[in-house]
Amino acid sequence: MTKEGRMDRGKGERLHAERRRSFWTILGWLAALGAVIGFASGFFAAHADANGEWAPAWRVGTAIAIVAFALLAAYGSWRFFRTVDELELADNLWGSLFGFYTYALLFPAWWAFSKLESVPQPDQWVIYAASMAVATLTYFYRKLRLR
Amino acid sequence: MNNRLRVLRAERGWSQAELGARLDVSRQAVNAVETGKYDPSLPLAFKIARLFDMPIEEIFSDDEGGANGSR
Repeated sequence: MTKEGRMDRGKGERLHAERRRSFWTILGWLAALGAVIGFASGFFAAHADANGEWAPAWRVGTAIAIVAFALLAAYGSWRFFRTVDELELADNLWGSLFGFYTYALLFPAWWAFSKLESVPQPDQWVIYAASMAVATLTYFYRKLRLR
Repeated sequence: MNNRLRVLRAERGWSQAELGARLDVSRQAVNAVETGKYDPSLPLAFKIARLFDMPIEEIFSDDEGGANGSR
């Protein structure tokens, strides 16, 4: 290996480390944001349960937290997707596609069966959870299979 | 799709992370391309060709094509 080759490798490894650091920093911030929002929402919910009703100040605080969560999650996701490469993007797209199809097929099928009175009305939370679960499983399947 | 990426990288003594940094993709992406588990986009394939200063068809080929497959 040439001297130049060794120098180049050092530079490339440094760039690689910077990329990984950026990736994990954004992911860390998103996780921290989720933890804070989770704690806050649990706190507000517990407070509401204890008092039996929502005071106006709690309602406003909760509304602000919800909006902040949505905006920061959207911003964090935008930063994340500007950082990742095409393979990571493809993993996310495939996960999203499978999640979307789960929703698109599960809801009308469940609704149609409910019209036949063979099952209860569609449960939005079950459908949401199923869509997210399928999307997550698809994403990690690709990640494990392709690495 | 077959490719000679692993051979070309080895000839230059680069690690997967090193090549990934030069191509602005992750080490995992380089590994996935080298092992044939992921076909790169056309822009990335051209970037690879430019980096190695070779025609794209000397690096990549379809399963019946000419590049010396690395799978």
